[in-house]
Amino acid sequence: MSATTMKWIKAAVICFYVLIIAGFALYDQKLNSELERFIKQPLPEIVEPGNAWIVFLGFDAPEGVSPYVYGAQVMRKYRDSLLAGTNSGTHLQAVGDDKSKVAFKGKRPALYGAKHDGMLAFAAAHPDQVTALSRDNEELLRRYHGLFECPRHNQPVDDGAFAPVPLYLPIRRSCETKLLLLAAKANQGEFETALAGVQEDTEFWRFIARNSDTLLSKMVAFAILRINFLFTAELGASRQLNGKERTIVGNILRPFDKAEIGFTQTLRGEFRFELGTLRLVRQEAKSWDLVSALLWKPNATGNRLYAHCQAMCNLAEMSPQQFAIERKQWGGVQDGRMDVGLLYNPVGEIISSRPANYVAYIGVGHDLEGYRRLSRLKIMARQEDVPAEGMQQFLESHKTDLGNPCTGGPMIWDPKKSSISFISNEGQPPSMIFLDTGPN
Amino acid sequence: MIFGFRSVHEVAWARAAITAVILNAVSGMFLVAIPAVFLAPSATGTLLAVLFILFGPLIGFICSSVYSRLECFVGRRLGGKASLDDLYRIFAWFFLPLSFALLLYVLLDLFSQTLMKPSEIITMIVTVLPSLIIGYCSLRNYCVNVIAAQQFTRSRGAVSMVLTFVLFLIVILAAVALASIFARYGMSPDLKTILGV
Repeated sequence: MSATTMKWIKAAVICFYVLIIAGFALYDQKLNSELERFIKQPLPEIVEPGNAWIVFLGFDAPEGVSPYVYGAQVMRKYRDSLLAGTNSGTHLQAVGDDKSKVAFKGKRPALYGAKHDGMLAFAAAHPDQVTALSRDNEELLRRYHGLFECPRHNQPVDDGAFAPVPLYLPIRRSCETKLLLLAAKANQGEFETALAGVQEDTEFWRFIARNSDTLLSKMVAFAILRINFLFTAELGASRQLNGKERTIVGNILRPFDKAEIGFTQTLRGEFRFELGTLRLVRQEAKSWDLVSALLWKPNATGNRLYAHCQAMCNLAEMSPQQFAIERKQWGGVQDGRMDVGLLYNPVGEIISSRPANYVAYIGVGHDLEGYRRLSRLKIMARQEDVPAEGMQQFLESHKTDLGNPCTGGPMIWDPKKSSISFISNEGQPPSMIFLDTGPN
Repeated sequence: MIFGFRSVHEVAWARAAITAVILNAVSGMFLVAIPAVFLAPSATGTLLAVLFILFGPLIGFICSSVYSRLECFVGRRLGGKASLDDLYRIFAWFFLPLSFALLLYVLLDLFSQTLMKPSEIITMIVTVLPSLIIGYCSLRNYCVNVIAAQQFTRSRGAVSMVLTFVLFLIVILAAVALASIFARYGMSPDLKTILGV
């Protein structure tokens, strides 16, 4: 073979690889049409009177400042820093850390843990502590009651991870203090008032669960609902209920609707949140950021993440029993293997090969359903005066409507601990959750 | 035979240049197969196949071109007579068994870890010995061929090859340093946080 032919062959090989590499550097996938439609869906206005999320954001506003006004101010500062084109660190500094915020004062008891430590018993044994909590946190309690007037809960998911996040801890503590006050009222004979108070609280947090676009707010709502259900079970099992009280209890413990317990809206919100974060990171990349320019393709990354989001939504829409089977087969590990996209979108492929594991969160929803059923069973057992020896049969008879949501079997009766429980999907090995059936 | 005591330079010169290119392409594929074996659990088959078929030859071409050019550069400075073409072809015949030996070692090591007790001496011998023999023979023949082509004395030839190897390592380190600088300063801080870099 002549030297000239060899030169042509070498030139051809070099051209081939140059074209391949240039192609990889410039190529990006077409955005999935469904994803494109989803992104283009406008979000409701965030800084708007009546938006509970803004009130959450400003919940610990300084004394004398309205939580809504404070939350709106924080959100506006953040958005102004975005428009100014500053980087993510500056966004957080713009929001700042205000030392004059109202903090929750006092120590709350640990409730509904491993021991039978209910609110009624605590309120009866520690009236001074309950009064002190109420007195020292009067402002926060007032703000907490103000939350119930909010008709909306819209979250800024498009603003991504750099947006300010509400501090939910003072809200939870205020909720628990309120429930302790209701327990004190119940002990003083104002039983219906106490139940009505729990109902009002439960309705609000069901509303939040129904309208949560992020896992954070959904999990907070679930945690508070769990306490509400357990407290309702305490109240309902403490004495024979009259007709009105039964109705209230029935409302509190009514079955969840799909939006309250489901995760589709939340997972899609989380996906949009993630896309928002990535978009902001990409926008902030400087002209010299060649990695972002050449090695990170937004459409290909979005398509990959969207496919994962769809898979998680499909999983979330399964019944608890089907979910339990799928989850075991899945092993809790997601298929994030890198694909050919690594060649033209290595950054995006690395990001999307480590998708967030939402499987555990979906399981929390099934757990909450389990708690709701346990609470109903406890109240029913008390109202029907079911003896200990008849408890197993009682649970069997309610296998269909109030059985273990994860297996379809009856709840488990433990005569030694005098408790009923169910095996949840959460954790390895599966964990038991106990609920005393005895009177408080 | 290729590993016989007669030097292989006659064989190398007798083959067409295109054969050397093909050999380097195959050697590159063997080299790419080594990290692909470790990447296999976290990558799809399609990705591995594309890396192997598309980028294997590219790696082979780059390594062979750079190394033979360095060999030629150092050799000429020391008074060598070999042309770039000669050194390229000699390198091709050395590169193939060497890359095969490396891949063989990795595969045997994985095989022995899954099926045998790694601490046993026999397992270690079985894993290391074949690659060691192939590697030694190919290296020996390479040295003999280069010395013959360059018309060096043994000592001058040894100096030439050691210098070439050191220069090659420097080139690799320089490429890694460049990539590190690119990764460090060519990426926004938020992106680094997301990637965990």
